[in-house]
Amino acid sequence: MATGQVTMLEAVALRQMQEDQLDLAVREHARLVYRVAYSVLRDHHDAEDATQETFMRVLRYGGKMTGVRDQRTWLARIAWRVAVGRRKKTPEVQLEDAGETVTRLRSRSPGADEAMLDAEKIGSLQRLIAALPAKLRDPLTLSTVEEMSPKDIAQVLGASEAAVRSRIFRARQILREKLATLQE
Amino acid sequence: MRTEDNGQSAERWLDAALKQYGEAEPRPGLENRMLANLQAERARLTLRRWWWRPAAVVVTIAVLTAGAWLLRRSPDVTKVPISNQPTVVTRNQEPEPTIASANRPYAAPRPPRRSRGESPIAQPSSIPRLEQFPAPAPLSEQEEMLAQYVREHRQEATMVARARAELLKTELLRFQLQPASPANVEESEP
Repeated sequence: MATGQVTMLEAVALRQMQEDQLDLAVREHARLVYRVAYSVLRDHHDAEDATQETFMRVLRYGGKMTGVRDQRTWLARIAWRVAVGRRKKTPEVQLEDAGETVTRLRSRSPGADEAMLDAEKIGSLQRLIAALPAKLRDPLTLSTVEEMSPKDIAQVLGASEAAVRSRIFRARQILREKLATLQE
Repeated sequence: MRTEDNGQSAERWLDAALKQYGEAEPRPGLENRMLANLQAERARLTLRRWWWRPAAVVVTIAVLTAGAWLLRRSPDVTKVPISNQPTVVTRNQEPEPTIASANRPYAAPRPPRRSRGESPIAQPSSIPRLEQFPAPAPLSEQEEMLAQYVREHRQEATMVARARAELLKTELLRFQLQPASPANVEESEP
């Protein structure tokens, strides 16, 4: 009888601890989760829904959270998977088509380097990034999230840090070359 | 020279664009919304985890009530008067009140159970209900004549019946007293 009571109390205490832990994780990492989701989905409502779903998944499988060492990366990984799962099938974009948009924008405003990039320009960059191969696109997208270091990105994508650095470098190189070519 | 400028320009543009690309601020109160939704989800999960307990209690009570009702009702069945007249049960027929139910306080008669799709109009049964078994046959011609004689000459008929009964009794006594022998048998034979 006493053992049963102790076990029940332990279960209640463990559940309470998990709930507190999750609440703390929400307060500390909700923005990171949101940004990771936004980097993939590029829509505020979708990103918020993905953030919600990420924490719901953590709640349903809350027992695993206790044993996680790096909660930040763990949550970022879940958010990445949720967002990729929600990502709509984007139509294939050719780099040439995306580049034309950038050229048009740059020619319209010569002092655009210093000027604030507006939403239209971001849209054109999005098209350029979307045209990259997935292997290069994913690390580059995650690298735009301020809090994510190459080490974190490597953990999220399940690749080595060196591979992530290399892929980011190659992705940037492709984009840079494309921009330079289009400008000539 | 121009190519280098273009390259640097593109590099700067790309850096700025990627920085802005990754900048995303959620609407204010994101954490509070997440926490509220988590709280609601927790309540829902808790409810789902425990819903079967009250359901089990309700089912148990229902089973016990049904069992008690059946036990209370079963003696009534034995008190139904047994008659040699077979009861022809037809659909939509009101159940006859039993002795036990007669002692109970009045309860409104329940409407007959109908199966789904059955029309509420009573359908005549193909087998007529019999008042007596076997069914009374009509009198023969001789019996009708006898009945008429009894109705018209009641006293004479009574006397004849008594004399007949006496005669039968006498013959029966004589038959019982005399032992059966071949002689008697031969005598009795015409």
